[in-house]
Amino acid sequence: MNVLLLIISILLYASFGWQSLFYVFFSIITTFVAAKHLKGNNKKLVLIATIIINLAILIFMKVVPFTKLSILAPLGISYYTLQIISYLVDVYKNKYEPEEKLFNFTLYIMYIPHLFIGPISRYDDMKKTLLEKRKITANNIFDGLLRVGWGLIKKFVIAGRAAIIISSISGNEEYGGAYALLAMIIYSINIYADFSGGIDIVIGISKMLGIDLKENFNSPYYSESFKEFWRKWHISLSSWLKDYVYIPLGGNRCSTFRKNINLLITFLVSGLWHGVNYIIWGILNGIFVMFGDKFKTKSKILNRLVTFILISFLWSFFIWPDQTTSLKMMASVFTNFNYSEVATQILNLGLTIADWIIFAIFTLILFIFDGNKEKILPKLQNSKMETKTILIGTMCLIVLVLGIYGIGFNVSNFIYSKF
Amino acid sequence: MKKSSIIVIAIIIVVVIAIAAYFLLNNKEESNQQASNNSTSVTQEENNTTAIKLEYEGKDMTPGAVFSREIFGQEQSYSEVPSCAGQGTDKVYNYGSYEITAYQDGEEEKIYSVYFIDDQITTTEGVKISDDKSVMLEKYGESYEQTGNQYTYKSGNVLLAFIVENDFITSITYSLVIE
Amino acid sequence: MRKLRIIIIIIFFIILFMFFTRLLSPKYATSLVEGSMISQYYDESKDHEVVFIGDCEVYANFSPMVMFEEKGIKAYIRGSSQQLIWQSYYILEETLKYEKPKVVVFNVNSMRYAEPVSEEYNRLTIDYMKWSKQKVDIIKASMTEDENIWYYIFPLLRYHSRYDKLTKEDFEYLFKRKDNTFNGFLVNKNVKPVENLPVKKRLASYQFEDICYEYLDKITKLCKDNSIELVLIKAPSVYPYWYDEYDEQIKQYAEKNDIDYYNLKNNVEEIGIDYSTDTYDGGLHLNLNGATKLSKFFANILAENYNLTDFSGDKLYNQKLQEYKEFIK
Repeated sequence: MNVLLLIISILLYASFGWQSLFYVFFSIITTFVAAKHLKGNNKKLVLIATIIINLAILIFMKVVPFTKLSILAPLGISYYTLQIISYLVDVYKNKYEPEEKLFNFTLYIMYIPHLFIGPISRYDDMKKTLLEKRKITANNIFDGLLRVGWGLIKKFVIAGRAAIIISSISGNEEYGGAYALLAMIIYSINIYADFSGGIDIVIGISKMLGIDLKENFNSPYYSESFKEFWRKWHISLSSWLKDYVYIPLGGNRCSTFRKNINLLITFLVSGLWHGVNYIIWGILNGIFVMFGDKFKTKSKILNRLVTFILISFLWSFFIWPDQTTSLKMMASVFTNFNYSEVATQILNLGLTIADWIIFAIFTLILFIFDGNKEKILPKLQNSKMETKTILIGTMCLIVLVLGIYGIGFNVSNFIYSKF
Repeated sequence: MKKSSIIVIAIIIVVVIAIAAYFLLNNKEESNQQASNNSTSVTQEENNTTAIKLEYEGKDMTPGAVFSREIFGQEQSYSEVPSCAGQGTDKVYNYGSYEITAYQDGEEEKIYSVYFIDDQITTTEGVKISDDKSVMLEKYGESYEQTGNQYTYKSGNVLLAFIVENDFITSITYSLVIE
Repeated sequence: MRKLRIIIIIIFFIILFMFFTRLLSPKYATSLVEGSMISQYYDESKDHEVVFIGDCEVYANFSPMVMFEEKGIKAYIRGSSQQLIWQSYYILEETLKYEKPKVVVFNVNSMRYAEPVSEEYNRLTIDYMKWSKQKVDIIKASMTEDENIWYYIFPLLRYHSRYDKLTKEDFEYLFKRKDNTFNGFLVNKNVKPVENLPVKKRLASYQFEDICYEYLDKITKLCKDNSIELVLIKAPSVYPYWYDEYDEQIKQYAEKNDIDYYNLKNNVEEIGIDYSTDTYDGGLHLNLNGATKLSKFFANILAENYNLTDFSGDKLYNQKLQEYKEFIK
């Protein structure tokens, strides 16, 4: 069955551009061979050489858009490069033995659902669930479908609508001030619904195949500080950065000053990983994580609200095409008070009144669900198959009728797959 | 500590290279941008003379421009051309020597196309119906697209089409590209 | 037991899906009625001796009921808005599955269109066709760039975003169809005289595209193979201009293939069309008045030349005629 899975993965991957296969296979083979030689005296040299080679490819692909070269970055390169590094470092540290079979290692990297948008899985986790014996059960299929349905709703019903607003605001340079603020807040919802929706689909499909992937989000917008946010947002990336950048740098076990520098470097790497356009975003996040805790108040709600708004502001770097425009737009919120104009123009941003209402309702559902996950999820898991079928059917209908897709709409690309 | 120190050094090197690369490239890009800005402003200046525009008797008749009777005066004849199953109506104004087809854009009417009826009207560059094909080539150059005996020049979203029969221009039409 | 319950739930959702498909699809009952014409044919008695195919120039200009009254002809018009020539071909193919008329009349206006004008027009013709090989072919031949066949197989995928554009019509005609035509003739009583027309523009090329000829050949062959008499016509519209160069090509084609071609524009005086009273949109289509005159004229041509049966005594058709007369009063 895993053979089939790998064949499907490779075929699907090739369908997005067979040239990319060259890069992936190159990285897989170098890493696989290198890991087997991570012993003896040349250990360090092998490790560093392999990491640098793979990082060099990644960095090269990240700067390609700024050059005149027309090379298409291999899909998922940001994700599999991180997996490769974590694997190499873990083998180096003798955390686990290197994989014996090239087939297994290839499947770990190329397992198609997580290759595009993560989560960035660790080899030891995947070994247990992907490479060892697993079973496809009716229960898993139902739970998986539920998860996929929920992901599709987030992606097509919520994020699809948000994306329309964002593109009509960011597409017009004159839209500053309150428009910019609106865009930032809507974008917070957009990127969360889009990205976590995508992850839900990945986790759901994996679940159906009997593979348990790690969660990548844990109600991030309920965070009371940036520190907490980064523990709950894109968890697989944050924990990767923690394990392979922050801790090797010295982590918490040194002076406060050094600790803060480490933090800053970690977030700089995070920014760079997203692309060279996100350096300021990374640094600002680092600064907020450093000092955020000092400004915490006693009110939970206030903390959450302030954190949410600050995060929204930082998403600016993802909305507008370059850092200067983003900074300008952030400033315009405080200089350009056109709130009344926005209120009258709200129906001219691409959504009808019905669309706004649907958007609001489902966003509300999303936040209520996130806030009460602990209560809802166990109930859902233990509910009858009949109930699950009804839920799945309802979700399908909601996506089909209320989703944004088809002629006239084109939002089928997941935001996070471009990194 | 020793193991990790190597990793630290490796990562720092990579980061430094990346940052250096970024600023290098960014500068380059900026200078590129400046260069291209300069060049676009130059080409724009050039374009002001070569971009396809239609001015006749002091009126801007370039497709996409606003149309109103206040500007163009009373037409000689007016026709509305509906399409079947009511999918939109063209408004056609005939001014003797030329015919303007307009479309509704919100509150305003805008020019969709201008068709030359006789040789009383000339293009901004002075080409008219009955001129020799060589006049067209002289004024507009060789960068046309040819389909049959029709020669089309495109600039921005405006098309200028000449039909040439026996080396004489027999039809001139300006129209808007709709995408 | 559990399995059964789950299957029942799934069936319930499939029904719900079908319900939403129906609810959100355009009904073409009171607005854009041109979209319901194609499907009305399926419920008709299939004993027509004359079948018309073509664009609006057939369904607006020819009244089968008048032809029946005049010469006892049983005719049906399988026209639709902006029916492209390949659509006409597949609709003819589909028609021949149900019946074998003696004469097929094709209006050649669509020879000038080598590609779809817009997705919406295609929808008017295709949406309510019954599923058949012809429907698959017609979709494949007509699809525009952004479409794929799933939009036709599951119309919900195409029309789902109509949820906030539903009108009374969508609920009123949820489970029923409104027949708007009399044997395919769409009655329009308005009068808008021909006044000014745009100038007759010179074209870069008057030659019909290869693809149009290809389908014209196919129509010709299909009729020959079924020993049906194919008749080409050009309805007497004054606009869009039917250039002499166009006319010449069809004449040559008809001669070469031994087909009759009537450019009815040449008979306007004989027919008695008065363009100040007989058109509803300034010369593109005839109104009821004009169509009645034209149908009488053309019924005589058909009766004289094509050996048609006189069905004057037919009960059903006489009843239809009464309804028609009632409607046009």
